[in-house]
Amino acid sequence: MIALLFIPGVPLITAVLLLLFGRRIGKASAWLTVLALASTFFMTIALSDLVFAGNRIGFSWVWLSQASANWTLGLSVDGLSWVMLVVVTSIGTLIALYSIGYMHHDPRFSRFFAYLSLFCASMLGLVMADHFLLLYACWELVGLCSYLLISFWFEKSAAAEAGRKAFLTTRIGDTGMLLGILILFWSSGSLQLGNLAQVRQTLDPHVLTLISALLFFGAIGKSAQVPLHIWLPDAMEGPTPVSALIHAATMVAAGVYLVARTFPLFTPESLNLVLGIGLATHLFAATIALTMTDIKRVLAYSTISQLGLMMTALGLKAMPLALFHLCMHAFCKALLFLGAGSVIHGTHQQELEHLRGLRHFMPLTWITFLIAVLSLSGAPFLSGFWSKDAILLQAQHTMSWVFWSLVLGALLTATYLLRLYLRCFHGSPSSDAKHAHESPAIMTAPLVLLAIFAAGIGLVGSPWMHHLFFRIIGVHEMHEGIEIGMVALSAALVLGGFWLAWQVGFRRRQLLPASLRPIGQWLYQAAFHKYYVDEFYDKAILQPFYAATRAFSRFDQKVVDGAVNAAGSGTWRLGQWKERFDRLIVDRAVNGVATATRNLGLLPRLIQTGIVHPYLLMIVVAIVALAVGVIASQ
Amino acid sequence: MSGVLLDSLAAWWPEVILSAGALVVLLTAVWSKRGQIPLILSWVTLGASAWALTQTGVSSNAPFFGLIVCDGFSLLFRWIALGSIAITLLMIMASQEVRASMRGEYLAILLLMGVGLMLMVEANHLLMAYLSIEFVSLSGYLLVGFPDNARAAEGALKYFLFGALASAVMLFGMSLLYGMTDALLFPELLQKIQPAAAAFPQGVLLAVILLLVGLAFKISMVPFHLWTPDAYEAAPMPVAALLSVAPKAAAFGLLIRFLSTLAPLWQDLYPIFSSLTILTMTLGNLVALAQTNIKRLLAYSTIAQAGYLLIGITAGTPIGVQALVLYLIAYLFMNFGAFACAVAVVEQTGSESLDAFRGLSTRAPVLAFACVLFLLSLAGIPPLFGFMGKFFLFGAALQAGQTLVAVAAVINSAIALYYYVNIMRLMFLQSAGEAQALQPVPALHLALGVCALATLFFGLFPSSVLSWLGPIRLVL
Repeated sequence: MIALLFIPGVPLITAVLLLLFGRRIGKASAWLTVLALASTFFMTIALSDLVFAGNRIGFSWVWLSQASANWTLGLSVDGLSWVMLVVVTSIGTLIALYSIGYMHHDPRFSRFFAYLSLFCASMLGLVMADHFLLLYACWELVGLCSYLLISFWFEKSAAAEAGRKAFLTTRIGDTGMLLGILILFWSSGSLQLGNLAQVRQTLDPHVLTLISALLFFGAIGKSAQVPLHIWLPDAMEGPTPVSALIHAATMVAAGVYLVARTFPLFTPESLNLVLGIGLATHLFAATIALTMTDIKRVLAYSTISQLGLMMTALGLKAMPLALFHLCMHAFCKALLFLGAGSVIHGTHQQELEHLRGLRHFMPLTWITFLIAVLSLSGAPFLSGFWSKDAILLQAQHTMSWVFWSLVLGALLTATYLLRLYLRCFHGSPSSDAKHAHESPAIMTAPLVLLAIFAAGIGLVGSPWMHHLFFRIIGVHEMHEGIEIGMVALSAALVLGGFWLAWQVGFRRRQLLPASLRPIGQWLYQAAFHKYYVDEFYDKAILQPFYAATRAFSRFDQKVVDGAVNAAGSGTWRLGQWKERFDRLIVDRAVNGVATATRNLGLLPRLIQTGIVHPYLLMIVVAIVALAVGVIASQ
Repeated sequence: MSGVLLDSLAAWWPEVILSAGALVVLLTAVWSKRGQIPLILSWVTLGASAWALTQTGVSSNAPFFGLIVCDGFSLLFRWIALGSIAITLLMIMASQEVRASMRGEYLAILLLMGVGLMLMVEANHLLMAYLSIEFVSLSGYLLVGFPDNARAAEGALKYFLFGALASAVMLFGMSLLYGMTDALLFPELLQKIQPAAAAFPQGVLLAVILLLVGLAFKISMVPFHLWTPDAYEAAPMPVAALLSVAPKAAAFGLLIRFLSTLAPLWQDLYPIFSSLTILTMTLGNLVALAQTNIKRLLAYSTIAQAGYLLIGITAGTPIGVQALVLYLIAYLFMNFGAFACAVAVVEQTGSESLDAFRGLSTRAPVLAFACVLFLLSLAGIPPLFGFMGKFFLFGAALQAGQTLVAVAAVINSAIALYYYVNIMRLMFLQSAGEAQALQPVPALHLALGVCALATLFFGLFPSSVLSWLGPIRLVL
């Protein structure tokens, strides 16, 4: 079905148009982007009948016919990618709409929308790719767009630095992914994503473990899992709509999508790795989120933590649940970020110190933010509840220690979200809050629409709608009915989180007994400094690396200089004598000859610099070493 | 005898035209001081030579008494040589460093170098190989040292000293090999190398090592790379670009031919190749990280790229060789492109510091965009041509069971991204400050356009390039 090309094609063409003629198009470029994304959304919806019927729609073209295998690149849509398409196109459209208001005064207005369209095109390509190579290309392109958008306000040096950090850190993960793809290619001869289940049959389990672990390494980078999570909080330097779309709802979830898509390749061993990393990230990031005081950074760590939860679900072999949570989280987190953006737009502040009591001044932002917070915390019957509940149930059935860790994680999640909410919207208004104003309708309309999703979209995965979501992605056996115990547990966790947030986060009460306070303080400081991971990387990896680089460079430019220094200075003195001789005798005698001498004098000057003969010596030494090495090894 | 010569000429017209054209260019330079006529004549010569090359068939018999071979392999490399000369010519037209008054001689040497490059990949005889390498090297020294200033003279002299040492060592290796095998023609050598190696196991290896040093020098393989940054820094920018691509490509061609002749010894040679491959790319990348001069940065970048190319040889399989040639074609476009961007910046700002790239996106948006394309392609980001080459190269290493080399290469390409992105950051994420807008001359625009188009197009549709690789049947 060639029409599939339109889905990534329309935003791609829009991006090219805006890049070329952005200045001339001016403010209309935003509407062009919104139109392009909305059209992709409707195209996706138009596919729903085919997808619901369980079809796999594909379009492919022969790309290489000379290579050892025929390489057929293609786009395809099945339940899994259709769900992702809906998420990306719907949230993308709403965020583009919101950006019209948010980026209103920016001098590079049309450039912003060009990047945004390009990002959406690459993301849609990533989701629809039917071939590892195409997927990898889109994977790198979304990274590039993310880099461009994080550093969009490059006048701020922090933004420029954050963009680079994000690009390079995720690239570390990508190297693993590329190796995984290469090994898969040479061991199975196929890079088609459609027939991974058959590939699994033919491969040795150890090779499968290796391949899947390497692919997961790519996901660790993209989805900001421990230990490559450091780039995501810094990425918040970008414009807030970008944080909402790329660094919360879609791109960072690409890692989860990758694991879900290549799920047939994962062996029990590699799934244990996924589980361990996911669970560690979930808890680790949640504790940091408790201590952050910047509204966007709290949300960034929350995103890392929730991505960890999705990975945990994957590690529990519950791929559909991970995907379900991905979708629910996307809506909630996009709403949270847009709400935060609205707050920043209205107050020009993003430090919690300066934000209090906003609910009086920004009523729509307040209500929608509250819905998102409650939904993501897992308050019963809101969207986030259904997905989190299902993961908890799955954990309870498989591993109890994972279950209790997730309960702790859910409590932490509710606590930091409600702390954020209380400190922004309640209390007596701060001076900045008093000047706040509600955002224009073009920003609040997406908020309201997203709030409806954040509250209700979860029903599609609930027993009340017979698990429609899971049937779309091809899972038909789901537990019918609601476990009352789980509902009660979720409600209790939200209430517990609220109580903690109210007492400690909002009213600043000390709950710990006096004897334990130093330990509490110590833990708080550790979390507040993000467990010093950045500092550790800087000291343990980057600094030594740079030092090594400089050392290499010096060595390469002045090889064995020290050894020949004595000889060099001797020659130099000789040369000086020669020059004096030139000046005193030859120069005075015949001026014309002197110029010639100076030109000839190039040779001794060269030798004086002490660069040439060490180089030559080095070459001779290398030749001898090579010859001896080879002959000796024979 | 004359019959053989006439028959041989049939396969050799491109070289004949190029040599004759070079001599005519040299003569006209005596009269034309403004340099227009030599330039036009050079283009005519190149065009005629390219036309002759399209007419040249692939023949299995070796012309000139077996001294050279004109097979599919050498045909591909002859195209690479002609292409590099053409792009260099465009860059020379844009460069102030090569003044109009000396263009005639300059262009003549350039065209003659083209003949040498073609001979290098056709050589089928030890002496022919040596002579062609010397031919290319000598014209290289001249091109570096031609501008009338001390820096160029110093650079050329240094380059010459290293080159002379390397070719002396190589000649010594050749004479040893000849002494032990009594063969100069490659096909004969292939037959006699096995018995010779049995008779003098260490002697033959020693001879081969010495012989390979000369080629290692040409492709800037560590530890024979030391001349590279100095020579590039001293040379006019277009010449540095030429040296970074054309002699390297020809040397890789010759290296592959040598190694397929020496196939029985591959078992003993391969450990050196695999370790030096890793060393070359790692050292090139690490040192490039610390550079602040664009020429030196690109010099170390080419050393690292040579390391990637060597993977194709280390793999030791037909697929490896094909991947190498594919990457070589990609490298031709992306490296020339990167140098062309540098020419544009250096020409107009007069500064070779990386700072000259500051805010290029506002000063020359198209140039900055093209530059990003080349840098990302060099770094191996899909869907650009460089990625395709890397993908097949790394894949070939894995297929040949060289996991260590493949892992090192993948890690290296991640490290390399850092300094390429650094240039991008300067161009896009730094304000231009006082710097002026840039307006590259049309010739440079053409060079940039060709390179950018090829980098993008062949990355998206590599099918056409792969079909050229079909005739390569050399097996290590």
